[in-house]
Amino acid sequence: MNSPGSPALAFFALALAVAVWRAPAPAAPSFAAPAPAASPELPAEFALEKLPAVAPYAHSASLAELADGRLAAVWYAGSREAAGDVAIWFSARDGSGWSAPRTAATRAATAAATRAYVSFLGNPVLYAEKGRLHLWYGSVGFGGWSGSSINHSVSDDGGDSWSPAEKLVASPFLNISTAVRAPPVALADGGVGLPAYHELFANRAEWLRLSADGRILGKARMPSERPGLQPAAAALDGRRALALLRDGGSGDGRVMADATLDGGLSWQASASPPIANPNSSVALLRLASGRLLLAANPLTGGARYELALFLSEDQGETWTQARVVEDDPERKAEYSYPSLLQTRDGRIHLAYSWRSQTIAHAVFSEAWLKGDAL
Amino acid sequence: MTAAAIYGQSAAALLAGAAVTFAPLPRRRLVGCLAALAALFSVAPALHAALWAPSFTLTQIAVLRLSGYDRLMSSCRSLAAALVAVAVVFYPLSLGLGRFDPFDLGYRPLPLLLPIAALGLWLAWRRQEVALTLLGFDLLAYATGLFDNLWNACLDPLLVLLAIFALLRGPWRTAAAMTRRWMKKVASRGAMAAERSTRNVFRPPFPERRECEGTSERGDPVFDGGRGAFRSHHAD
Repeated sequence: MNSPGSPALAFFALALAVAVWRAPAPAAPSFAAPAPAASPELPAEFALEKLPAVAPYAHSASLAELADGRLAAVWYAGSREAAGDVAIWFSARDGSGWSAPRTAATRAATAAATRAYVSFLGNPVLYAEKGRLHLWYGSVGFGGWSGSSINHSVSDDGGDSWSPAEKLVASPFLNISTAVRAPPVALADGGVGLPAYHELFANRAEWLRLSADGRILGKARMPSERPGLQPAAAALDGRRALALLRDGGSGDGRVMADATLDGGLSWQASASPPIANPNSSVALLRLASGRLLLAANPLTGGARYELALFLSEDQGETWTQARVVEDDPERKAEYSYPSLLQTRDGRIHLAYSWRSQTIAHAVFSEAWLKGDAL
Repeated sequence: MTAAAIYGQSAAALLAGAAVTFAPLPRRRLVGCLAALAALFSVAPALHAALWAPSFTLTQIAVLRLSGYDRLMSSCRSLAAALVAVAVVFYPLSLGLGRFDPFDLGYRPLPLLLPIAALGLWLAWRRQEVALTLLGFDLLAYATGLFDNLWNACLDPLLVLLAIFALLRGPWRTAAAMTRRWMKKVASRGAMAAERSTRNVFRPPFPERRECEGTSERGDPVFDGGRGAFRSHHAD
């Protein structure tokens, strides 16, 4: 390096210019504005069924509506939690019932696509965007859940086939300890905001901003009063959103709340609703009527034998318990990890882990939710 | 399968090969290259899962090591020190300490490119051509989409450990040499004390032989009892 015009310096300057050119400079994020409030006029209805069982252990379902109106579900199942034979399973429901489940992702396929050893798979999240299905799911190479990282796969044929998984790099430390649980929120630019969480060193929630092609454009911390996990978010308008979190702290917990006023660029802890949480996942949905619907286990002490639905008329300020979907009188069973979706016909769908043996699917109307008799 | 996945596996194999060159083996560079090739089809996926994709900086250092150049860190200790200093602040903040997340900047790295330009000029001023070239390749690796986050192209925990090792190697060698000299001194004093003690306690019934101070009867060299040199009968 004898002079400023040396080849090394010239090469560096050129590389710097290319990096400046390629660095994304996205506009400030905003949510795809929710549809104006409307109340689908469905009578009170409620039905409960179970999805076809594929393995002794099933957990963590996620729902989406396909372009042709069918309801689709993904979940993970295997011989037990964190077993090597756990796979992500996909099934779609038409008028004749749920289709025979088939794998959307396996340990071997994920390892082959990412060129990295995979020990087991974890929580999947399904999301429909126009004619495309997105699937995010966790995988662990070594260690426990805190070693998880996120994979992304898409399907353009309604879940018949899936693209090879691509890894999202959301952590600077060996890309471990990032997982997903709740579905993303659509952004106005075609991308999504994906709620995620970390379990390494401390439990904490995070918001990933993804571009339309699935690349991470940014991330934001989601602070909470106590260590929070598995945030579930719903947009209230173009700039505001509410997220409810699983309490990942010790002792008796409660559902915690986070809010953003700038399209997910930053989040602030807000007042927690007075709903107990036994360190268990929650689901949040903004209904077409404008109400917010929450599914959670309102218990303490790690129990998950009761699964209830809560409604908020004032964008999360106050909550009232609307219905109890499951309640084991022996207080032993587990009904957990709910997932909510409202399809275009106005029906509300709830999927959840039924005693860790299979996935249950409840479909109901808002009239039933408000207490109307069947 | 994406380019990033292929890079991650290949880089892990290169790291494995470079690590082998630290072993006391003959023809280490050749052995390291063969080990990298073998690792690509064996342990690389496991290493990839454990380490994730190494930074492009570390991959380039591994390539340099396999090609026989391993003086980068030791030739620019201030660069290693700067790397460790950045890591000490960067990792705790990025892993959840406080509200500010510097890792987020790496996804939209325009503000980061200014300090990187300054770093490049500093390296040019310090005549660190190799480091400057490595940094340029880091930027190109980011620009081509191999990394979504500029931090990951430049920095990773293993690289930080390497920098710490490079920083500690000099003081370690100095301390080891001092320790060796001190132990030698202690040993020689002990030997002198033992010799004096032997003379006082055990007096042989025959005249003392001169060769005990420097040579054996066969003329083999023997330690001279603390005078710091070996002698031989022939040398006398």
